Amino acid sequence: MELANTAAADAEREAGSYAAAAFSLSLGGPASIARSEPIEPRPLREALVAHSAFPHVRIADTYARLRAIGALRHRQYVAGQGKPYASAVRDAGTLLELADFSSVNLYAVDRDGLTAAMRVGPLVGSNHPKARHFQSIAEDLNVSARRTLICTRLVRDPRHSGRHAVDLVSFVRVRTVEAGWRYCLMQTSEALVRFFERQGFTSTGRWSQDESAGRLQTMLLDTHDLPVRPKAARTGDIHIQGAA
Amino acid sequence: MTRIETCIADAQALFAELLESYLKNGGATTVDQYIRYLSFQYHLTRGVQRYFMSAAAHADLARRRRLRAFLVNFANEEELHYLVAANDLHQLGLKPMPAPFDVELWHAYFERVVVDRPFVRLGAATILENISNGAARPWVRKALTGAFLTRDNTKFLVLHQHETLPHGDQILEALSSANLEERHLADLAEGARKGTVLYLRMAEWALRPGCLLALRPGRRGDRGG
Repeated sequence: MELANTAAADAEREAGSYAAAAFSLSLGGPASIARSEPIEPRPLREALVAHSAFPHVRIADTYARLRAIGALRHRQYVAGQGKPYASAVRDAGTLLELADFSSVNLYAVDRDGLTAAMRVGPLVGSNHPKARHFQSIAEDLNVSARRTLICTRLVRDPRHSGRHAVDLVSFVRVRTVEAGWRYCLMQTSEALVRFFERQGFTSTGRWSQDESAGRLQTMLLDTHDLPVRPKAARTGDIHIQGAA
Repeated sequence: MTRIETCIADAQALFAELLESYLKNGGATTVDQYIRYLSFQYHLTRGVQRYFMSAAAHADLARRRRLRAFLVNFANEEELHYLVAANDLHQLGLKPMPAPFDVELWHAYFERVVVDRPFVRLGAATILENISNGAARPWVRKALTGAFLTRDNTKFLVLHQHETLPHGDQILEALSSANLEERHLADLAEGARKGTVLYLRMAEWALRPGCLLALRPGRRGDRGG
């Protein structure tokens, strides 16, 4: 998950975001979901559907919406940061990749348009270029691969504070935990490690070299099957069994 | 029927030329081209049974009962194929794009003409069912390779491959056995020519997203997305 621009400072200020607060209220605080292994999570395209607590979060289910996300990525990554990412589509000024068509793309909007976007896909069967890297980490950390998501291409429009980027992560957590998913892997540059720790991710200590994005660390979120992060945990890291 | 076969061969050559224009020199089909292809096919084939039921109902088929029966069966076979295209798009996480202008033109024209001159629409059908064969065949095969193509998102293509469902041969056989008059043959050729023009424009919309034909009146800046 490479967050364009430095959303970290803005987003950290809003770590107790609207969405998390809304859920704490509506659920009377987070509650553990009683489960017995093995759990077969529902497909992400069934799980990631609109939620009334996140009215500004949408699913990109048309090519026009996907193209708008691709245009934001292109502005941020390619035009803005000079990263030489290759697009899988012919539309000029658009960065879309094959992984976009086997994943679910989410985006947030305000009255001026798209504010942030993120791609979510399953670890098992992923065609993400770093899928094997993610799979080996899941194996090393002894987390269930079939209950693990990969979140990538988190991007925000620089005109927006970054609160919506946080809300996308919260939305994914709520919807996917409900559907039987537990873990989420993402990649980030060193500058944003702290930002993701604030969202409940922990460092795995595993780095990879991306020829376009540079050195990236893989981080893991273990939700412990909790759709909303416990308030107590927001000041510290959740212990990950086997994490480096 | 030689005339219609010539029309088909011309259409195949033009389609081959269009495909070659982006596939030569190592070019490949991209996922957005495929999404556009499935989207126009969805809108083109949705409601297709109305054409063949209308054609079958024409008085000129009163004494051509085999052709009438063929058309009714054909309508039944084709009626739900648009859902296959929609499902292939669903596998890519998407809904069909809005209908391109040339699909709207297709329906506006053929819905009007099929009632009185059914063989014009049947001529267009011979193009739709045969344009991927002949000279176009090797280029179609080349176009249908891509890392994004899987068994789950290519069911429309597989269904319409000649080997799977030889509708192209079947419709030519049905027409050639129907003892058609000269005016019918002239209508078939006219429909084949017009169908070729419109189909190639749809194909160009799919394959060249930046082309002029992708512009839709009243939607400036939105190329059918």
